Parts: sequence; C-alpha cells; structure tokens
Amino acid sequence: MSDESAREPTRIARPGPGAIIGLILVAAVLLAALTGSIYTPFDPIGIDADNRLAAPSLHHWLGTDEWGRDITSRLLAGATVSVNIGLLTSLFATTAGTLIGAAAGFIGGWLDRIVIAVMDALLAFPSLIMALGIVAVTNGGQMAVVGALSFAYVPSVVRVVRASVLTLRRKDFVDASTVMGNSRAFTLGRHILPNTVGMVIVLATSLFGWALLAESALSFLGLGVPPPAPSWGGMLADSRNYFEDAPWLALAPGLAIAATLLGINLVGDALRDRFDPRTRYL
Amino acid sequence: MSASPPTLLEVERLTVSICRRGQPFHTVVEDVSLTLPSGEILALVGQSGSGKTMIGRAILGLLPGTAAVTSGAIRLGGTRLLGLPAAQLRRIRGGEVGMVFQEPRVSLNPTLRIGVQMMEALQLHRDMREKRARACCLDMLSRVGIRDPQTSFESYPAQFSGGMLQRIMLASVLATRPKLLIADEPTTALDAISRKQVMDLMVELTGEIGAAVLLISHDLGMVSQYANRVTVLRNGRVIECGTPDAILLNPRHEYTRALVGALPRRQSGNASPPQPSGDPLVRIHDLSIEYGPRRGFLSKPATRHRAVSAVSVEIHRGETLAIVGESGSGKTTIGRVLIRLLESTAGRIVFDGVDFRRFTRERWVEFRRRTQMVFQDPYSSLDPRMQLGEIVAEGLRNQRLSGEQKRGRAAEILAEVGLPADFIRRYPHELSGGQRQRVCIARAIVGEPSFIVADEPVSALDVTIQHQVMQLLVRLQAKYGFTVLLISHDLGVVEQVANRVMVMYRGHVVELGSRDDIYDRPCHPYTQRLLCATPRMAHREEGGYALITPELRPAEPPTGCRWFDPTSTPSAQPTLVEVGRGHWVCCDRQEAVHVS
Amino acid sequence: MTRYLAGRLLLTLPTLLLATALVFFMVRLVPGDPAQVLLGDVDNPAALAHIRATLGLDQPVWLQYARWLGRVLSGDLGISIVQQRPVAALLWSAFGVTASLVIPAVLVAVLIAIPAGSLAAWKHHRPTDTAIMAFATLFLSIPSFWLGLLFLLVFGIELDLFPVVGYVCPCSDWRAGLRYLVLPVFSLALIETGVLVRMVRASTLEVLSLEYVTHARAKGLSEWIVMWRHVVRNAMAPTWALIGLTLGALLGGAVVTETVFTLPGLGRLMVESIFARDYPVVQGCMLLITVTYVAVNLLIELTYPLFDPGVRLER
Repeated sequence: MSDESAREPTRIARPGPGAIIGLILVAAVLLAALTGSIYTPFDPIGIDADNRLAAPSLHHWLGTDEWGRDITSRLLAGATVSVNIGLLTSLFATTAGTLIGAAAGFIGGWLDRIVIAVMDALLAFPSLIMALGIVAVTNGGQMAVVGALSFAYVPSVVRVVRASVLTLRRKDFVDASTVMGNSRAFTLGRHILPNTVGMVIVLATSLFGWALLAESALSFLGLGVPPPAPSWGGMLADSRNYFEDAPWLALAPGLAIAATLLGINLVGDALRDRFDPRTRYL
Repeated sequence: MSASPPTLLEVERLTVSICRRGQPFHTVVEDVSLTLPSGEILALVGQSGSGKTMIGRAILGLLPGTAAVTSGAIRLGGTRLLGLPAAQLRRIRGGEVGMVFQEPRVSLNPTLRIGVQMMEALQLHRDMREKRARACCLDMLSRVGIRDPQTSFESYPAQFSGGMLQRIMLASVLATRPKLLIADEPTTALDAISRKQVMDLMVELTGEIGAAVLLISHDLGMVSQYANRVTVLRNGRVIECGTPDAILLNPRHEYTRALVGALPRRQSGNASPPQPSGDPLVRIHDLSIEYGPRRGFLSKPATRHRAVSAVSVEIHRGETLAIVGESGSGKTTIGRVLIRLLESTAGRIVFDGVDFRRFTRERWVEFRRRTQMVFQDPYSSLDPRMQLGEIVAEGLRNQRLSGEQKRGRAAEILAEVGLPADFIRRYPHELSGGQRQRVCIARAIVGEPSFIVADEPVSALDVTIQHQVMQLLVRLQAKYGFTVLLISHDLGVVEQVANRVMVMYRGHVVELGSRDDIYDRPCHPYTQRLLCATPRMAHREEGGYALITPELRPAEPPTGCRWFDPTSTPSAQPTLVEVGRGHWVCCDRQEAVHVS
Repeated sequence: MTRYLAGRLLLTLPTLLLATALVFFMVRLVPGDPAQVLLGDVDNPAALAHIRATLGLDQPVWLQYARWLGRVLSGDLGISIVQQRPVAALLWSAFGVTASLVIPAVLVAVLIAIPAGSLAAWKHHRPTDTAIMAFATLFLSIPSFWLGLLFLLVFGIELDLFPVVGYVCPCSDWRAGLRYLVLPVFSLALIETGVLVRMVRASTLEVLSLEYVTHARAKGLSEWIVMWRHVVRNAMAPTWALIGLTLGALLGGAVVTETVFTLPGLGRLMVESIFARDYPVVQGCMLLITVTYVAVNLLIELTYPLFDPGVRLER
C-alpha cells in the first residue's frame, strides 16, 4: 500500500470580481439582443418627423435621432444585429479553424505544409483589411459581413489550434493510445480534441468580441449592415453630423459597444484562467 | 580530537509558511533547527514536500512569492539574517553565502555571455576591476576543468552541456570565496557520471577555500559519501540527525528506515536468470536507427543522427532485460522501436518468431494487444480529461467485453496495483506521481500482455516511492509472467529487478550479461565508471550493510583487441566478444580472435 | 548568422506570392466581365479592348497573374477609374499620410506600454498592478473610432484645441502638421496600448518567475540591476515580436481613424474606392498595406537576434 496520502479532490478556483462584472455585462447585452428581436418600445426604423433630435426624456429614454427614431429601440435592435453577426462569425470561424488546424497538426506532412503556407498568406493581411476586401467584391448584407469576417479570422484559429495539437501530440498519453492499438482517427477524436476544448472556448469568446468590434467598424464606414437596419456602428457614423445639436447621439451606441467589449474581455480573461492549468486550481 | 570548528550557520526553530492575504495558510517548514560548523558539510535529505529547498532559500531571503518565515532565527557567524535590511542582505548574498541551483540551464540568463554573468558577483562583492575579475574567472574556469576558458568566457549558456554548465556555476559562485555554499540538488539534473565528477569537484573546491557546505538533496546514498552530518526531513520537520554511518546502519526513526531501505541493494535470490526455454520472445538483429530530416529544404543532408548502431540481442520469455545507459545512449530509442512507435532504419526485429516486415494486419492488431508500454513522465502519460476507470478500461477496448465487464476488470486491476476502489472516478490531477504511475502500470497489464517495455518508469518519483513501484512491477511479473524490457539510467533501480543487463553508450552495446556478471565482474571501462558513480548498499563481512562504491579495476581485454570506444574514429569495428557464459563485451577488433 | 537571415528571407517569399495572388484573384470574384469591371461604368469599346489585351484574358490564369505581378513590380498598378490617374501615384501620397499616423501611434503605444507593463509585473498582486491592468482592459475595450469621436467632440469642438477636419503634412509645416495628428494618433494608440500593456506584463511575469532571476538575486545584485539586465532584456524579445503584430492591428484601425478625422490616407482611400467600385485602387491599397505589414514583420524577425542571441544558434 502506498504511504502517500491521496490528495483531496482539488477545488477549482472561483471566478473573481472581474469575471462577475463581465458576466453581468455580457448577459445584459445578450438579453438586449434577445429583447430587440421580439420587442422594442418604438419602431426602430419608423420615421417620426415631428420628434427629431429630441433630448433624453421619460418618453424617449435616450432621445431620438435625426429621423425621429427612438434611440433606445434602435439600440436594442442594433444589439440583435451585432450579437447575431458576432455569434455566427465566431461559430463559423471556430468550427472551420478547429477542423483545419487539428487536421494539419495531427496529420502533418504535406497537408500541414500547405495549410501553414495558406494561413501565413492570409495572415499577411490585417483582418479588417481582409474583411474590407471581401466586402468590396460582394454585394453586401448581413451574411456577406459574416462571411467576410469569418474568412478573416479563420487563420488565427487555425494557428492556435494547430499549435495546441502539436503540443498534445508529444504527450505520452497520445503514444499510449497508439500502443494500445487505437487508430489515428480514434486518438484524434478521443484524446486530442477533448483536450483542446478549453482553449477553443476561450478563442471563440475572443472571436465574438473581435467580430462585434469589426462589424461595428464596418457599419461605421458604411460597408457593414445596410441601412435602414439599425446597427451600433451605423448609429455612431450618423451622429457625426449632429455633434453640436445632439451630442448624446454619439454617446449611447459607443457606450453600448464599449460595455459589450469590456464584458467579453473580462469573461475571456476569466475563462483563460479557468483553463490554464497553472491558474485553474486554488 | 582537535577542538571543534566554530559554528558558522545556526538555524533555530525555523518555521516557514505559505501565506494568503497575510495569514499563514500552509506550513512548509516547521520548527527546524540545525547547526553547521565552519568548513564542514551538512546534508539536508528529504523527498518532495520535505521543505528542504525552502530552508535553503530562507537563509538567503529568497523565498518565493507567498512564502514567508513566520518564526525562528537564522544566524550566520553571529549575525542575525532575518530582518536584516535589504542592503546588508545583498552584501551577504554572493559575498559570504553562495548558492548553486539544481538546473544550471535555467539558472543562467540565456541571452548573456557566461563571462558577463560570472563577473557580476566578483565585481560587486570584491570590488575588482574588470581586468582582474576576468583573470580570476578564467582561472576558476580552468580549475573546474573547462578546457578552453577563453572561448567559454565569451560563449552563451546554450552552447554547453548540463555537466559543464554546473561546473561553470560552481566556478562562478566560488570565485568570490564565500564562507558558505548552499547547494540545492546540484547534481540531480545530471547524468550519473557527471554527477560524481561535479560532487567531487565541489567538495574539493570548498575544501580548498575552507567553505562550509549545506548540501540539499533527496539522494541519501549520494550525500552519505560526502557529508559530515546528515539531517533527514519529512513534511517540514526534522526526523533524525547524525553522521552518515549512524543514519545508514542504525536508523532510529521508521521513516529513516524506509529511506535507507529504499537504497539500492542486492536482492538475494534474483541472481540467476531463468533458463532460456524455447524461442526468445524478441530477437533483434543488427538494428540501426537514425533520425533527422531526410531532405531538408535548407539543411545539409548530413544532419541525420544515428541513435542506435547495429545492436543485436535476444529477449527470453519471462525474463527482465534491463538496458542501462546515460542520455544519448539510444536506450529509449530501442524501446520505442520495439513497441513500434518509431521505425527502424536497418536490421531485423523478430517478435514471437515472425519478422516485423512480414507482419500482416491481423498480426499487428495482435501485436498491439500483446505488447504494452509504461512511460516515464507520470504527468503526461494519462489523459487529463479521462477518469481513471476509463483510462484503464481503454486497454480492454479491442476485446469483446461488455461495458460492465470492462469496468469490473478495471476496478480489479486498480485494486491490484494498490489503489482504493473509489479511485475509479478520480481524475489524474488528483493523484500524486507515484499513484499515477500505478495507474499507468494498471493500464498496461489490464489486457494481460506478454511483453512490456518500461521506459524509465520510476525516475520521476521519490526514492521510497520508486522502491514501492518497482516491487509492484516484480510482484505483477511473478503473477502474470510477462516479459519486461526495462530501460533506465539508474543502475541502482535496475539491480533489484533485472535478470540480464545490457549497457549502452552512444548507440552501441558496450556490455551484456547476467545481473551478477555486470555488477560483480564488469569488464568494459564504461561499465565500471557507471558502477563507480552509483553507490549501493552491500553486505559487509561483519554483518549489516554499508554503502560502497566499487573500485575501478581495469580488466584485461581479450588478446588481440582493445575495448571499444564509441568516441573513437569511425574506422573502428565494434564486435561483441564473449568473455564468459552469456557475458559479452564490445571489442574493437584488429584481427579475428577466439577466447578460450 | 547570414544563414539565418537568408533563411528568413526565403521563407517570406512564398507568403508574399500567395498573398499577392489572393489580391489578384479577389477582383476576379466580382460578377461580370473582368475587363469591364476594371474599366468602370464607361462605355468605351476601344478602351475595353485595350484592357482586355493588357490582362491577357484568353491566357491561362496563372499566366495572367504572372503578367500582372510583373507589371506591379515595375510600378504599374493600373489606372484609377474615378480619377483617371495612375494608381501608384494615388497610393504614394496616401501612404505618407497613413505612415505619419501609424508610426507615431506605434511609438506612443510602445513607450507607454513597456514601462507600464513592466511596472505592473514588478508590483505583481499589489494595488499598482491591479490599477494598471484595470486601465489596460478598459482601454482595449473602447472602439477606436468612438474614442476618436469623443476626442473630436471634447478637444476639437468643445474646447477647440485641435483642428477637426483635414490634414497638413508635417513635412511641409511640422507644427501645423502635428496639430492635425495629435488626436488621431492618440485615439489610435491608446487602444493598442491596452493590448500591449497586458502582453508586456505577462511576458515580464514569466521571466520574473524564471530561475535565473532568483540566481541573480542570490548573487546579491540590486533589484534595479536584476530588473534591467536580466528581466527587461529577456522580456523584450517576445515583446519585440508583438510590436510587429500591433502594427497589423493599427493598419486596420487606421482605416477607421482616417475616416473619423478625414485624413487622406490609404485607409480612407480604400473605403472610398470600395464605394465607388474603383477596383484598381482597392487592389492597390490592399497590396501596399499587406506588403508593408509583411516587410515590417520580416524586419522584426531579422532583428530578433539582438534581443535573443540564442535564436540564431538554434538553427
């Protein structure tokens, strides 16, 4: 019998204050997006010429824009759009990137070399520039934006997943799987991929944030979601013309974007700590 | 007896704890007292968690992050060290007390030249000008045996081997002629032969400058050869203290007894290998293994590295063959080729009568079922996301058993390796190193294999745990009757368990024979050097045990050839020559020779 | 050492080739006749035929790419549909503007982030650390265009300290030029500062936990020397690489900042050309931005051995 005492099942460290704030912010945004898709206090695209550029009041909590549209409603509807695009992009880019990265890292050989060459070439473009290029040659619209952003982010995912798979491949438990007679496919699916889950989750979270920011930037430039559909970036762009008359137009959407990004970053950090073996336990 | 030397270092009831939010949370050193007279060597011996490293760090005020001294006193030549203002403490560090760490590769800044780092302490504490400091350092470098001090002075740490780096560290630290040297596991990361060289050098140098040494190590056998006194620690407390002889021959505390019992010693009754009955299970013929880039894009074609050269050996059913060698000897590579994790480059491997190259697909499936491996690193050999029960049951995957049956068998096996029943649902990170290794073994034997390759199965474990795990392996082998290829760099571990031993050096077999042949009648100079570097407990005529190192007794090679030296010219022709029954030694033949 | 340099250079070549090929083929994705696409909304059969001949549309695709590449390398990037001027000329003047925005932004970000990150790491787990990290996280969550708008609002309009629209090249009048650049540079840089501070802190923390730092302290060296000679230098190596990546983010971010502050840089040129369907210019912008990015990263890789001599020994 061993004289070493078995360790207590170690406890996983609880999330800190930053993580809690982040969760609250993200939850608020997701809730807003959900609400915005079914109900808004006013019609977000309905023009109300009498009420243009109204200051915030009890009637219109955040005021109205240059077309008389209620800002609060537009924010909610814009949340739906931004969150949609962010989630879809994150989903597509993560899935495609993980499959390609895992295949390249595990199979190696010529497949790996080709993948690296292509990914390096794609990574030579700053992601926003790549997205702009794709938007330039398509007709626009939500799915075009999703497509462009996903394409721009896949190389980053591939790189990270591939690196992780390469590290895992060198671990002894992978050799043990081979020695037991498992096929390569089985080893990949049973041993390697589950061990990349943590990192993929962190990546997907970050992608959500980047995609949201990129979509806002594209909409700000006028190349994202086409009007009159509300989007936070678009609202910011519109506010430029009315700085002197209605400065609040610039505050609301910008604050929304910043708060969302802050929340995602905080949650992302907490997730990273959760999955890093060094900071995972107490 | 002459008057005893003055006390240099005094530690009084030292307690060190890890603190969280200012409050002590976990005690790592508790109520430890020791005294070290000037010029003597005191060894602190303990396994992981004993707190020995913390004591060394506490003396210099270098406790990591959250650890702090919560009570006690430390005095160096009368000066209280705890609570000393930072500036004065810095003067003592490096000037009066020097420290050598375990892993020289990480103790030196990889981006600075050796010379710069060596001169830092000298210039600071001895107030030397650069020219004199440089001369002093060069002098120390040649003193520790570095062949070309000038070039080494200008080189970067990455260009040296571990043993050489440790010698450079010694030179660097002792150049300021401190009064006390704290050596924290100074040789643990080195090969057996470098270990002895570095220890001898350390003792010699400190003797010359009259420095006292606080030697911290887990290796009771090694420190007993050099220390004046030994203090045994466990879980932060002092267990026992005495001269090496007293500790080894008359251990009072039961933990000390366990430590001494775990020292390598000859098991009586394991001497003769079972008579080879029938065909050998594994036959290797002229096996060579090379690896490296085949056609590099930018690399020269000659970067292929020859790990193993023309090795031939047979492994008989039911025996334990040990391959022993230092790193770079090729022993691990052979193991991996035999278990088919690597491809050989030339030669034949015959398993159970059939050559690898003629294996059909079904044969490979059967091969995988009948062969298993136990890995070295308990921290990377278990999938962190699987429960222990699942890990072990995976070994039964190819057999036609129901899920229920597999779980049952897994539970049985875990019990057999000494783990409690509820461990089925535990995860690897909840286990200690020794327990993980047991799981590894359980996974290997659950399918009842006939051949197990054990690659350094215990080198990452504490000494007493090593002993337990090796005993487990012996017991299981007796029960199930599988054949074992044991790969190790530690001659002590191998002695308990092996029937036959094969010594390798730089890819060549240097000597092969029964356990007794190798340990009692080693012929090749390399084998002898390895043995000298491994002190073992042996019976004394007067009864009891003593820690001995065999003397080097150069043996005469058979007429007509010299002992093969792998570092010699490539024109050498290594051949195995039989010098006794089943005892082969590698010769460099000049002409055909027969030994009667 | 030369082998290392040569090796690195050679490895960049395929990347550049593939990237330029991508730019080339991207325009082909636009539906319709490629020649007409490049000509624009003009009905001029003679010009159309001329373009068709230049493109060599009847030839295999890779040959078309090769011809295009040849033209690019000799400086011919086509003619802008909108302005009827050589694209290269347009790019050149815009490039200067973008450079005068991005380079100071990188400098500002680095000059703030390195001391801040190192300080945070040194005072790990103490209030200074928490404060610096909070600021960093806050900054990197703010969209740069919003920050730009806010700066415009506060410093430009309300306080009237800086000009709101337009650009003067610092090369002709550096004082005026600077005034036009202050707001955009800071709105661009502060975001990246947040990112960099976190990375510098992480890399410094890692180095601090390494054994050789403890060893240096064991030699009795003062904290100052330990930090400077042993920690900062070694933490700089990965940070140096990060600067290259930062540049990429800034090149993307510059697009939006130029729009906010109406600076006539590459980014704004690209956006306007996308609206105008001026594909030769879009192509040219993408090409120039990408090549610059790759070149800067290559430069960083080539100078890496200055920080980590071990790298070239590894080969």
